[in-house]
Amino acid sequence: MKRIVVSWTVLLLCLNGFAEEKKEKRFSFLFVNDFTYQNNQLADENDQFYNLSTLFLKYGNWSGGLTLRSHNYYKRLPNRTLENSQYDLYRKHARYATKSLEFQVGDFNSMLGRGLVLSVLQNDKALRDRTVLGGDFRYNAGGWQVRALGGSVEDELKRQKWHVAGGELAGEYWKGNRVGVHASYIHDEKTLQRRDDRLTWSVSWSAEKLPGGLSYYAEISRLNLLDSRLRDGSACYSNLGWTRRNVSLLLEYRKYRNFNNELNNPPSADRGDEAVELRDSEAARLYVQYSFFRPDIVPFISVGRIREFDATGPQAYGGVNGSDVWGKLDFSFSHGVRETYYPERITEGRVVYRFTDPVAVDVYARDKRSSVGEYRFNEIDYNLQVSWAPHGAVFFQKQYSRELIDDRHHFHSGGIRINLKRDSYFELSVGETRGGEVCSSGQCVILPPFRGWRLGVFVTVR
Amino acid sequence: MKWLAWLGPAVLVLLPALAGTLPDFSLPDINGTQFHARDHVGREVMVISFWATWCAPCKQLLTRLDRIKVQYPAIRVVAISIDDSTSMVGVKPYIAGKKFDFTVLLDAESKVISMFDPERKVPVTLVVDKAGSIIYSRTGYLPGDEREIRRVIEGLNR
Repeated sequence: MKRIVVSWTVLLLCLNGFAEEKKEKRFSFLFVNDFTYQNNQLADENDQFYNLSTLFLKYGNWSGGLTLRSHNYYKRLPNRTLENSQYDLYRKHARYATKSLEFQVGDFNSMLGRGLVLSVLQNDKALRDRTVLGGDFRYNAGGWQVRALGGSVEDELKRQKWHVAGGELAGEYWKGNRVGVHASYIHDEKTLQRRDDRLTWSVSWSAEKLPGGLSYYAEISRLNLLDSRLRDGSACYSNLGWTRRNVSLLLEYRKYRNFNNELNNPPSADRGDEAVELRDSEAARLYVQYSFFRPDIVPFISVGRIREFDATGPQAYGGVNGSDVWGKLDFSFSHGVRETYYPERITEGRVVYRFTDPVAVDVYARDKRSSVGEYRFNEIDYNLQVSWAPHGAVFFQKQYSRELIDDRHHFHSGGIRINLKRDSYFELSVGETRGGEVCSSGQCVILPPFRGWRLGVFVTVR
Repeated sequence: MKWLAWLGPAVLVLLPALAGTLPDFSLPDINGTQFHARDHVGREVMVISFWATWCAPCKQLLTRLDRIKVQYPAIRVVAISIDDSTSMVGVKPYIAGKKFDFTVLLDAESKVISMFDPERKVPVTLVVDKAGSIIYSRTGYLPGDEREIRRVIEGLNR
């Protein structure tokens, strides 16, 4: 451990030597190292480290990269320290791309259509880091694109593995209107709950720029379980957008039934920090925003109905965003309610005030409340950050949670971030964080609480 | 296998310092038109900012870049959204509401951001000169960072 820390300290001191920019158009490289050391008092062994070293190279139409990982805990299981440190070639890829042809092998993220049939993407907030390890081929000609991909997907804990093949054909058929056919075939190799092989396919229609400021997207899909007595799944997602002068309007509708193929993540038609129920749900909403005042004040409202199984209720949120008001102030405020089986309320606010450049204060607060019968749940976060750009910032966080009437917890943490040259920084924080459920882009993860201190060093050289 | 932990620093020392050029990439914009980076290198100064609708500092930065664009209309601001299928639908209303004079691209599969930051710590901001060299890059945003971006662009216009 000491050797790793010393070697990176030497590296940081050497960074100034790479400050000169060189001009060479055909060749470029990027090196990123992200190192975290933490003393986690809630883990079975306190000393933990996680290091990712990534090298990306590009020459002409060719590019490639590899990521080496060394760690003694998994980001999704931070309270369990591995007995022995592990080292592996975490990611690797090679890619050839021209205007009409693209081919890549190795690890890649992938989405077909709007994610109804396949969506293997990174989601940092939900700590989901999956890639397809295989090959991906695309060919574009005359406004049409054909794509084929295949490989395996493994979760970061190496507990689940799927084989997947997929493809799509999409193109413009009439004056900016596009049509696409998308399909994926999934076979479980190692999963927590083994399921039959499944074929998911969809047809989509879309236009992004029609006369009068109109745009639309519609996709209908089927999930066919092969050799199963279970019911096949189905899905439908559509939206209609309209923009005129200061007003934007978006109408969204979706309906999903038995539609979880393990590797898809369809649009939610909801706040991004809510999980999408794929077994049986339906939602419709209208989103409207109006901007006035220059530079910017934008009130917005989203109203709709949502059904999950047999529970139906409202989903609505609204608020106002302002930016660069009097050249000194950014703010946002929103309040939302959502009710299916239980009511949930989220209130969020943020104010950033720049006293005198470059000193600024950023205050953020979020209050989330829900209740089921007598059960009351309340989470409140306060963040305060004072920054001095571009050199760094100090920050303080207070979190509060109350799950039952007598079960209240307060968590305090704080730290400092110092920016080094060329997108490199180190950050030191100490204290307690709450953990709990974190949702992003419809995907959720339960994080354990943390108590201790953490040092992060992020270095980029290009 | 512990030698792997040393490999990162060793690579840095051994690599020739030929870095700092914009890799070529192509992505669809929010109107469905394909954007090819190579078509713009050599013609204009570009400010590239990776952002997402769920990222508050990213949106603060875009507002600052809008002011810079007003001040220096000849530069091209390329805002690359890494929103996925669930949040992508919010990109267009957000941009339309703000009336940004930006080129807005969609990188849902993280193909392009992984060329600049494999861990997608948005916002990532780059200033690319006419020769295609990256002359400024920053991961993250602190209020006031825009002064440095403005200074870099002023340096190019001298």
